[in-house]
Amino acid sequence: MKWLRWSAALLLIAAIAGMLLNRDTLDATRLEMWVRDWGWMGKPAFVGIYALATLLFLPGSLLTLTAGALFGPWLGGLLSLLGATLGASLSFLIARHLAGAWVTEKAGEKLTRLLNGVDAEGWRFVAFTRLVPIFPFNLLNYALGLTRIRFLPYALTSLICMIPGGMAYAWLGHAGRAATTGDVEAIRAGLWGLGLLTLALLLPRWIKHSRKTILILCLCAAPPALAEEPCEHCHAPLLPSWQQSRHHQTDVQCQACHGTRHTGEMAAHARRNESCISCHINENNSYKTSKHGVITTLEAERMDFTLPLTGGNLRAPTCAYCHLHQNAHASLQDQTAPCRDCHSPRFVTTWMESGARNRAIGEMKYREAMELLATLPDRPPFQEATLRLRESLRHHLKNLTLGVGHQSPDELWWHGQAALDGDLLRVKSLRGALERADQTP
Amino acid sequence: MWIARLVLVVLLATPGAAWSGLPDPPLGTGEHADAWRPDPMHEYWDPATFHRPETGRMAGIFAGKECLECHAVITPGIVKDWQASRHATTGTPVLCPACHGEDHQKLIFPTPQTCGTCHPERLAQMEEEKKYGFPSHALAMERVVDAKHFADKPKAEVASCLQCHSVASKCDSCHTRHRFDPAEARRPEACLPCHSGPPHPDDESFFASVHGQKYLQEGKNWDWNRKLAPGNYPAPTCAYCHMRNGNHQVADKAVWKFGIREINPRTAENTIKRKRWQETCADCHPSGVAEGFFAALDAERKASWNLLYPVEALLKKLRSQGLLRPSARERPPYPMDLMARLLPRERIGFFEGQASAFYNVSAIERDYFELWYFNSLAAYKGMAHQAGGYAKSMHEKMEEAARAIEAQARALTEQGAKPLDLTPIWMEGEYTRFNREHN
Repeated sequence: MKWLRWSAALLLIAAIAGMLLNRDTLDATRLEMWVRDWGWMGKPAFVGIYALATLLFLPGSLLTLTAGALFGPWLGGLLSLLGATLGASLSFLIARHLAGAWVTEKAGEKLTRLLNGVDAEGWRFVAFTRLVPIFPFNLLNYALGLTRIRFLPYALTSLICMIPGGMAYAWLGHAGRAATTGDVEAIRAGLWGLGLLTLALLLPRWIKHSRKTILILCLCAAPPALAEEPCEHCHAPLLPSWQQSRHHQTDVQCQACHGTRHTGEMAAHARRNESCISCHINENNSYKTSKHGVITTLEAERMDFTLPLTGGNLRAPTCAYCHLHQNAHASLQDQTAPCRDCHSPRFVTTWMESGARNRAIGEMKYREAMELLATLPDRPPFQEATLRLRESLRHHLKNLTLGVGHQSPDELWWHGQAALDGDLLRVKSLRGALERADQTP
Repeated sequence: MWIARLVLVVLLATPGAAWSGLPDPPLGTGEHADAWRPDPMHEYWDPATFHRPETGRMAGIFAGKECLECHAVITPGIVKDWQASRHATTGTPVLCPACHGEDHQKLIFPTPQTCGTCHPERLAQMEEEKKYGFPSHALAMERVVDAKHFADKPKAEVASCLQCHSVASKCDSCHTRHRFDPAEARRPEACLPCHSGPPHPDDESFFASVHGQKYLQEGKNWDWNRKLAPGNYPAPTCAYCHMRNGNHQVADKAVWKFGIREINPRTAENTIKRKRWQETCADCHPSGVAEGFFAALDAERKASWNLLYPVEALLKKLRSQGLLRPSARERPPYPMDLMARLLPRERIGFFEGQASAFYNVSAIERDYFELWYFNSLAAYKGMAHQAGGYAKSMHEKMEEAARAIEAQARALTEQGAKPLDLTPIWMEGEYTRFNREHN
């Protein structure tokens, strides 16, 4: 029988490892499609998936959010709790039957005393670890199986103590806002409150009983508190869009724009121009000197950045309003969509076409100048002047592009077209100087 | 009888059909109207002249409420803007048809005249500005279309000019649609999209002044709903001085004006204008302070022109020696400029009409143009806005530019005139050809 146990344990570990490596494949949208396809079988199937996911270390919060969205807050919460309890019980039993005896056998004197301490706490220990959100759910299920806590109190306490968290996540999923708002943090704060309450109720007793229990609690809590939960576990729906973006190509991660503090302000934080400007400083002048930019300068404090980036929700378009329109995280398919939130389609088309012609004219100046520069020799003073003028032409063409895109007359004309005119005539003068120099004997 | 009627109908209908649909875009406006055709975007910058109502998409007569119902979905941004405006919150709301008309096939783009039906005093003030000549908001459109380089250049390229010069043909340059909030128009940033850039860095020079610094530090806490009247603001901003008491006539105090030519600040007319400045400054400062500002500004201008005139003379000397290459014969003339075709001559300085020397001139002419049009004007704006440090740094740039031009002139003189054919360089090229063919 021993080999059977060993191979079962290995199989389980392999399955967990496999799932952990491929956890990106589980996203809420895909899950939703599966469950919908199964019709009335969807509900029991979901409980099964939930239990299996618990065994395989997949994030339960994501599943609960999806359940809330799919089945509504009450039914979704209930199904999630059933699935979670089922999964937690299975993990517990697997650990107990595969390794329980082995642990008891091998445990030294110290470890035995620790385990005795936990056993003495029984359901209270389970209750505490379930209520405080820092204990990793999936790992805890297996870990508790290794103790000698009895199964029934374990399962019942787990079910009851997971109710607040489960229902809260299901409600959030039902509201459908988890992906774009920071409300997850509010729930976590609530759970913390509950956990601390339990601690206050139980702590005096524990201190009297066994200091070892507290030590174990600390040991359990330490690793997950250090580990950062990757954003995509909860915000998976946003991932495909971001993966198509240039930010993804250049490895600009969520934190670059959203910051690192999950305070409920993460979306609003990223929607403000300031979070873009820290990298895109060269683009800022063209925006700031446009009418859109002026209105934003004056009214940013009164704009509600918690609203989604659509429907004219901001008085003037900000960086994110146009470039991440409708909360997309990649370049727009239809570049005129944000314009049309305020301007007529005809105005937008006329403007876009006129801007494209304007830029094409700038490119003509650029090409004409570059072709002439290519005919100049690699010797002083032509070499140095050529380098300088090439750089100047590139710079001014870039200004023109930004001026057209951001509708800044200052950038478009003075730092774009008029500056390119200067570059072109200087190139021609340089070419004329070459002719004169060649004629000099 | 019916045959006669049929013939009559056919005769009348044929020219009628030719007239139907959108008419061809009209030719340009202004002095060189025959020489150019507008870019399609022009209709939004000068709607009174060029806007053609859209036909075909939507038909019907709509009262204000109906407009809002559709546009809350189609263009929600402007509806939200309007709802937050005084037009919406006032006793009897000013609904869409008041400015745009009711017929969706004949929609109107509001002009100052449209706004003037309810705000006649403001319109009258703006119109009054015209009597003071250029530069002026009210005459800005005339200024741009009469410029030779505007008529000459491809219209899509110079469409950007209209973005600012349209201040003459619509009110939303400052009172952005559809909020039209005076509090927004009073802020200096409202002026900044147009009053920025090398020839008129009004933004930089104002923000570099003590007044501007005070605004930058405290301005966002001031109550911008208050009128631009004495005692309402702790420091003056663009509008406080130039549109004192909310007067929409901004030219009656302009002495040095754009700054591109030397003037006599002590003429009777300018003395009257400076009295108005004295009154404005006296809102905060004791008498005598304004006179100090005038003296400093006049001294700065004198110094600038003392530097500019010799450089101008130097260029004229090069011209007389035939050293300015390309000469006016070797580069494309303005198509509508008959005199320039008959008697081509390099124009140097304001009085010869060099104001358009952005392109198609030799590098040394452009260098002089930048010295005069960019650096000198920036120094002027610095001193006029009491940003002495800014003006000083611009004068340093002028000195440097003048020395560089002198060095270039020496090199040209040493090389001497050469019988070279430069027309292939200056008459050919992708943009040069496109520019010649597209007005």
